[in-house]
Amino acid sequence: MTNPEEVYKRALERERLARKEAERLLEQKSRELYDFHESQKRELERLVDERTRELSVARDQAIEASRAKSQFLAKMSHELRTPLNAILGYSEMLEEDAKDAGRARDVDDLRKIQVAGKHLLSLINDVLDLSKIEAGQMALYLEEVDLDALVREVVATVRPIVEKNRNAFDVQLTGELGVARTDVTKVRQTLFNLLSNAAKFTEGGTVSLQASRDRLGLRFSVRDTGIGMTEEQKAQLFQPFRQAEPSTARRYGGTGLGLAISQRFAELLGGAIEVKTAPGAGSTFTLHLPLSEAASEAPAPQRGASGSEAPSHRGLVLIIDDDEAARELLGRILADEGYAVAFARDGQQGIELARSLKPRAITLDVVMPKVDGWSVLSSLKAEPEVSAIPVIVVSVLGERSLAMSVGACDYVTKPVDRADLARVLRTHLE
Amino acid sequence: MKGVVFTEFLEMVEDRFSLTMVDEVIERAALSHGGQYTAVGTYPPEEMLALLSALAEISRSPAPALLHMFGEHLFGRFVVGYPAFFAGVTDPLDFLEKVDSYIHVEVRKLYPDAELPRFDAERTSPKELKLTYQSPRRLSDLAFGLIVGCGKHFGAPLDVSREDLSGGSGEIVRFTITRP
Ligand code: HEM
Repeated sequence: MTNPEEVYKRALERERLARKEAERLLEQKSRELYDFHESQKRELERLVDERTRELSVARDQAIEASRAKSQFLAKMSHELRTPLNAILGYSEMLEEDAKDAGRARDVDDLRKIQVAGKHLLSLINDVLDLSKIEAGQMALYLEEVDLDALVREVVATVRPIVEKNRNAFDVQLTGELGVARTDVTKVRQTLFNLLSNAAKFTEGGTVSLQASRDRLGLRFSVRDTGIGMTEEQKAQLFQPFRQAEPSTARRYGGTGLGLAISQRFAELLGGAIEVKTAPGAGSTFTLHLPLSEAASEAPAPQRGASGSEAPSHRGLVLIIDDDEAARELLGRILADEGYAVAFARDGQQGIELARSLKPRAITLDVVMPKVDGWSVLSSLKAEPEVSAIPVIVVSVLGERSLAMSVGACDYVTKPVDRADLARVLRTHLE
Repeated sequence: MKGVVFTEFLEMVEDRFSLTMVDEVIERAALSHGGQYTAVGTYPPEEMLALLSALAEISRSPAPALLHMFGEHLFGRFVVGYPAFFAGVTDPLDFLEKVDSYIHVEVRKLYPDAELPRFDAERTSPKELKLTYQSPRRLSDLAFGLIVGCGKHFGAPLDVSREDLSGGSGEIVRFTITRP
């Protein structure tokens, strides 16, 4: 029984079977590992998807919140200006009366009201500007601008402010600046901000303005011999509501928004503001504006795209919206697209204009006082005369299906995306 | 029981005795298969006992002594197969102290179906360790051999005494291990 050959044969057979068994086990383990790995991968992918979704929801909410905030600010600023205008207007009238009646003390008091009121007004305007910029709703109005005239105008406006602090005003224009296609209001405001800023922080020194034009574009340098700034102060310079020190605001006045706005204007125009400064050594602010790039890159909405003036080769669109800013924006987009536009401030007027003008299309806001968009829509759809006019509901509310079910032909969310609106109009009108 | 125990056992039989002995032991153990063990497989623990008694009968040696011998052999194989567990250890008592709290813990991670004993370690002095073995498989002789193998590996012959705490069943055995 212990035949060596038999023993080896059996040993060999055991090894062979053991090897096969080992291979089977190895294969099985590999598969388990593979499955495990796959399920982990799927789990990981699921988690990543989930996080991505959560993040995008959070991002959308943040964007929406910021948009709502800007809209609220814009609206508030708007609401604040109306009573303020009354205060300014009436105090001016009263001042005249007091002057005529020789009541010097009243004149003085009334002037104080006006100074305070004007300060408040500039604050509100700045807040409005900034919130528009931040909401991405600051539009550019590009046109041919006579730069030399612009500089002369700004210099004349700012001269009293510069000289008030016993400063010399040194204006150097290197050659003709000529004409450029740009947004005159924004350039004017930026130059004014830079110059009045320099004037405010300089006493008994010199404020100088150098302007030049070359291949690269326009350069406006505003130099002062004032108090200057540390690196730290410089870093905060363009942040809204920051001045070098809290006490600075009291001493020098101003909203603290001027530079922030100027900077953003410059960026909108494709340029930048550069600062050189050191404590005690004065500051130099240089505004760079590109020439052709600004004109070609920036959207070029036309100024005052109101009704009858605009080219109307594509027909008339009636805009029904109680918010002036929204009306304006829609108007501009539509005018750019080649439509003539008419405006209605409320639902009632909207229905009347629809009847009398018979526009090719109507854009309709939903949330309006008294007669809201839904009522307007059902009135329009009930009148055979106008029921065929396509109505595009434009609203911040996400109520597309409701809009479509009550007869709207399409739905666009606010804030309105230019391309979106243009596409919708083309779909329904061509 | 993990296949590595079987393959190592049979290798020891081949080394210490002969291939013919392996053949005979397998034959005599009357397994349900031909004895083709692989280290990566898992087999019923009774087969180990059957192989052991077959070897005892054929070689006319007491089973406990054979198990002890196997323990010593196995330790040598562990040194080769699991060097990570030995990294930085110089004292055999330090090593043995960690069998339950570290080594067998890692072994279980590698082989979730491993059937391991329980060891309670009590370091009574730097030179003395009380290690209480507890397992329904009653392989304290194997543990004994492993302990002795451990001392040999570290070049420190250990003095080991043992005491059955389970009334002679061999399920709970306390080793008192001292080193010079
Ligand atoms: C590197 C060191 C060690 C490794 C890798 C290791 C690994 C293993 C493995 C894989 C088993 C088999 C489990 C099964 O069959 O399911 C086992 C069992 C066993 N080990 Fe360890 N071990 C080591 C050290 C030790 C030491 C030093 C002792 C003794 C103090 C010991 C005592 C035992 C005993 C007695 C068994 C048999 C199972 C039982 O009695 O329940 N081991 N070990």
